[in-house]
Amino acid sequence: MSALLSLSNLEMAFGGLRAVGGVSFEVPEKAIFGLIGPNGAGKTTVFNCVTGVYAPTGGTITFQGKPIGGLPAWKIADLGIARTFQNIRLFGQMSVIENVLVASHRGTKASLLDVIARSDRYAADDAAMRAKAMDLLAFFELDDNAGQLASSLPYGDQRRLEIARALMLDPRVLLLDEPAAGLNSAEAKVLEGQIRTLRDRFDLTVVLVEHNMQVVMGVCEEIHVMDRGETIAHGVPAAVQTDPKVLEAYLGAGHDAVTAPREAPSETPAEVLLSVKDLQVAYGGIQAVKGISLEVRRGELVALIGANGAGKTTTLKAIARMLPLKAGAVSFEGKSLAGVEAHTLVAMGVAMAPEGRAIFPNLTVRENLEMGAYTVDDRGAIAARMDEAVALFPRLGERMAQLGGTLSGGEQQMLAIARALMSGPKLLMLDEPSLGIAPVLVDQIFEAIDRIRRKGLTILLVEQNTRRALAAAQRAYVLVTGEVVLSGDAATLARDPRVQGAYLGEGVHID
Amino acid sequence: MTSLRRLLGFVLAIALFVAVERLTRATAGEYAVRVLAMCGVNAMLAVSLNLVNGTTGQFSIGHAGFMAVGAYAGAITSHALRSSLGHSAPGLALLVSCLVAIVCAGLAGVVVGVPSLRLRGDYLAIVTLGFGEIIRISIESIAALGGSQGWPIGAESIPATATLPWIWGGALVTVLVIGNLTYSSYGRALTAIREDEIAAEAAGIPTTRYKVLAFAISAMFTGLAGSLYAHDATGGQHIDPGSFRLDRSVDILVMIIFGGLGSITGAVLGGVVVAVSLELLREFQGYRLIVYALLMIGLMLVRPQGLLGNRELNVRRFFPFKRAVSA
Repeated sequence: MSALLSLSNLEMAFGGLRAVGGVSFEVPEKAIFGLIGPNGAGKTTVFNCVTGVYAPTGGTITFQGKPIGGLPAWKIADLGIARTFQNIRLFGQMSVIENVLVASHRGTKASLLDVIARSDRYAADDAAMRAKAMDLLAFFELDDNAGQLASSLPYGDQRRLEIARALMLDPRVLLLDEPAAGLNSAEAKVLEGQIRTLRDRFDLTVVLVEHNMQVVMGVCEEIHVMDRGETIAHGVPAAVQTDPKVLEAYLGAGHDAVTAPREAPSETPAEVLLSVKDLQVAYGGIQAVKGISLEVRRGELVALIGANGAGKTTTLKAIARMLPLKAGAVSFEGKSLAGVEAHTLVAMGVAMAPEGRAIFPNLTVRENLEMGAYTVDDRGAIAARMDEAVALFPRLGERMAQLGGTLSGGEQQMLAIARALMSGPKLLMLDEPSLGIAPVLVDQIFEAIDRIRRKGLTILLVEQNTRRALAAAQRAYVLVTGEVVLSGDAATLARDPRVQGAYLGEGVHID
Repeated sequence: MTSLRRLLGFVLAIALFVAVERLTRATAGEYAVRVLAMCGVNAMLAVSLNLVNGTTGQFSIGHAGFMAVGAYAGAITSHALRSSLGHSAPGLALLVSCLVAIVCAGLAGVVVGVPSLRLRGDYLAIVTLGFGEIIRISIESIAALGGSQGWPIGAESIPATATLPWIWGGALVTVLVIGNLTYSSYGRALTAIREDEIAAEAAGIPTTRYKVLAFAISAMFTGLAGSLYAHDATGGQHIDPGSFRLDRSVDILVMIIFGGLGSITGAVLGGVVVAVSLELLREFQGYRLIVYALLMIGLMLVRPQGLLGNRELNVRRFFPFKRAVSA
């Protein structure tokens, strides 16, 4: 089998950050090839290098025997590599058929003069392109919507329209970036069949980046696994699924880490501080959270775990009143949060260290902390909390006058947590505190989280690093595509093979 | 067959314009003809700018520069033609002047567009503004062009050959060419650039090349408008750099926002509305611009998408480009 597309030692650095460091693989002709890895592994960056969005900083990309690295995107599309995008990039204010026709422009035989004079050649060309576009739309069952604005289509149709547009280029290779994002498991099953049909009907080689492991394992013939910009495994699905390196990349290292000593469960459970009932959240047409119920009792550390796209951050943001609820109820200390605004929530005692830290880059560390205490009037209390923050994270004490933006990722995470504590919350919500942070600092951050918990603060933790999260928490909820599939005691869950399944797609059945 | 029918249609349109001019002059006087001429020039300017700002989604506020290039190139050409040919065939002389203006402005468009269209949004706006001013100030400092006194130098004047049929004919050509371009595979490519540049590239469209193409065509017809403006039979037969300041670029921008960004018929309407309302507001004298500004604010509050939004008036029966699209 000959390789249609091959990457050799591909490197992509942004400034000092190496997003992809020396990745090599070959995609055989007519294959369905999966590129997987946890969040931040560099999968989409590889796609962007192959399709010319980025010019790679090292290595070579060869397509049909010719090097294509660094060519402009339109040229690569012209050569026969078409793609879809992770967050759907349609031409929203154009009609469905026009979206597809745009991709036919390179194939047009009509010159500018033909167009302006509306010559017969233009008319014939236009008619031929329209007929071809309608065929494609019919294949995707979108022909009835041809005249509709693309932005008015429901989410699933938008995804299919993107594929139709890509196919209008008559590509040899189709790159699909998370085609199953936002689909439920029944829809994902349908997608698997569609991908195979596409390959056969259009004579394609398909490469997909996908987080939905059910789809990846179901449809891919060969899988390449990346973590932190590097290759960690390659092979057929069954081999990849059981590869210890892959398990570690997905579930997090530190499974030998000593589980935090747990206090004996108290006789009477503490009162419920936060209660979430049947929470539903949707982004446009995508139902990201499909009815989650959970509760956090006073003094508990509860973890919310699950693969990328499971709806963890969305749940947290909905609790923090940063997203509108589609349905369900959230209450804090027995009071309903309906109608409460995000900034009022801070004064009520809920603080959040958001995903990606969101520190103020042009304020100093001290000013960042002061902003966290915006709702606090008592100067004495502010000073005392500032001292506590420094005691918790001595590194911050050394950098009080430094601008937030100059801190390392780990230090920024510390600052984000410390800033959240400055408001003197009753409930602390942490979103992915280990994301993109060096392992040494992750240790320090989790130690600090443990110390905060011991002081009696209630914590709701969203974390991708399952093993660490389960080691730190008392109870946990496991989310898969917007639903809670498992919940219970953290120590028990840590030994439950079904948790692994929730990440790598086997054996989890949603009843 | 079709081309014959189109030619016939064009001749009929010109005949209609001649009739409109005669009738207006006879019933409403010379002043009304002058306003109608301004409407035509504005329509050309607005339709041209709309190709860049509306259809392609780039932001130029330097189009007064291209208008200046067209005006000067056209006026100088007809001056040269007059000295060599005398006063025979004034129509031919105007036609040649306009073609020269189109070519010169188009070249200026390419020269400005190639470096600046790599930029986006606010940056592109600033750069086009800068280029527009550079063109004007260059003209101002060239003594052979009359400097800030304008052109022609001395007692001579630009031939007053651009009557209403010429100006409206120019506007018709502008609408037909830019309309046919917009509602074609090329126009789709330009709109795709406006909607999402990365996706447009991924669909095989060389975005920079297409942006420069749109910019150059836009500059060409802005140049045509400039040349017809210079030769306007109802105008002053004299041009000076002061007519091509930033205000002019802003005026054109106002027309297309008024009419609705992305709509060709909207741009025509915007050009007409701006010309007519500025005349009607003359009775407010010193407060004219204040009232005009208030009207503008009012319209943006009531209809932020402009008079027509990005839709076209239903002109299917009159313009061939719509028919070809919906076929």
